[in-house]
Amino acid sequence: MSQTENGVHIAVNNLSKQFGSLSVLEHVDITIEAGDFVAIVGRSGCGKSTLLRLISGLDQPSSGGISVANQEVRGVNSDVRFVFQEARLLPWKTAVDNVKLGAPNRDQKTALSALASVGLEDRAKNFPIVLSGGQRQRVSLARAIAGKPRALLLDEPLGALDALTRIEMQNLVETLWLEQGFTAVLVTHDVSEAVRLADRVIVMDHHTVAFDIRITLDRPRQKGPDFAYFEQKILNKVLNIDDTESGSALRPGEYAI
Amino acid sequence: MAKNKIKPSLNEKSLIDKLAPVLQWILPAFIIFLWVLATNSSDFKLRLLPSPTAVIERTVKMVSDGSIWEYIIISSQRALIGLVIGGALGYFMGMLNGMSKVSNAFLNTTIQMFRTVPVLALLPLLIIYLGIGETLKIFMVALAVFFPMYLNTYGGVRTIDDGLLEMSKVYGLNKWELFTQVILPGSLQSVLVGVRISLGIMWVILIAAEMVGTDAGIGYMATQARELMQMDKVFLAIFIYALLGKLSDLVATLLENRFLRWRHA
Repeated sequence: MSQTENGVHIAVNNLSKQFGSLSVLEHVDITIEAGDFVAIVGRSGCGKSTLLRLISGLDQPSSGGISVANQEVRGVNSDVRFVFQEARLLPWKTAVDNVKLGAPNRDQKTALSALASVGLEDRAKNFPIVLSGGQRQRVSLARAIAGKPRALLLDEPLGALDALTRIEMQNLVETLWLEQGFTAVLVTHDVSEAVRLADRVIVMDHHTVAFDIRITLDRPRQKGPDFAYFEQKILNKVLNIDDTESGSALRPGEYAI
Repeated sequence: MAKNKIKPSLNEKSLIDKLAPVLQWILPAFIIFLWVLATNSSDFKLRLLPSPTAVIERTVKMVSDGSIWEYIIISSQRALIGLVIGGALGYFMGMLNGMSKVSNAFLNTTIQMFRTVPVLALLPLLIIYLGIGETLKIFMVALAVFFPMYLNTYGGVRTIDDGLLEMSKVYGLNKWELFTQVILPGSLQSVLVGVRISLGIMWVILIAAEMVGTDAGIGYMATQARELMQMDKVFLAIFIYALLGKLSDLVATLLENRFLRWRHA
């Protein structure tokens, strides 16, 4: 689902990564279309976070390569922003000063408008300590989008939030993605979240891609039988359950009577 | 009900909270009471204890003829000069070794080794090398203050959250921005702990240094008074130290409130 021309194409070619003798990724090949929203799910330790860090340029691959917008990734690049699981705000800076770090030339106006786009313009002068967990994560999201990145990499940014805040944040991430048209790669262990947000879900298992599926649901997505079909199918892959024999899975458009 | 007694409401101040400002003065008042009682006793040994009124009279006399200020000013000067020299050096070295692996590899072990030598144990040596003049006192304060400043600055830089450093990398902070916006403020809390410890240790070392052949300062005032058996003056010197110590503590608290505002809701 291509949005605007803003997003970038990401290609992962025969990528492997070892930490010492420990192999984390083995021969991974993924191609992500410009402007696509891709979710990567898998159990903890399957290498999904490492993959994201390699795409961002924070770590270097052991072999194979990654290109963003047909350019080999050689290090951190301001077109690609990373949202961490923790907000990682500088506690001695106000919300707006934190967002400024992500704005081109550390521009105050850009920072304020990014804060407004996550609904926190009235908390600009607050220090992180007085903000709630969800608000801090919104500030970190504002910091990430302030520079109008062409790809946004999200490493379980909603993992530590409560259920209601999570739903709000999911809506916010989707809205920002629709408005700005960046390529989004979300790493999560929450299958429902992946189906809720992504055009395409990639399941990782045993250090490589195990399953790759397009989510053909209309947006905004609501839970229903079709949603449950994708959710179940992906969950079975994550849990290694063979769903061809279970017979209980529904296809899109089919409804249980 | 018993349950209500165990769990008082959160926004309601308990009786002990309300009384605390009064309660803290009960022990000092009792000590002064014992003091008055002891000085009025006929026991010979207790005659060496000056009466509170004698100490007060001495204070009034020394304040009115200005001699007390001379002692305080000369001691404070020595303390501050030593603090600035030793503190700045400790801060600089702490920053350097906290940030640079190379300088840390060269210097940290040596500094940590010298840290365990008590400054006062060097006194005989320092008298021979430096004499008993101003240099000795300032050098000793500077040396004593160097180590807490070094250790806390070093620790402060070393314990900055790796996550924040990685975030700085993602957002392309240059070296100057990294230093001024992450490392300096990130280590400040620990540095101010070093300042607080330094302000305390500064007086302790200075008093000891001033008791060794000096002709000015509060330590001199106390030593001289002891030789003349002016017990009220010895007491006054001790009170001045207590007040200066309290004042230093207050300065440390003010610095923390000023520079660590972001820690408070």
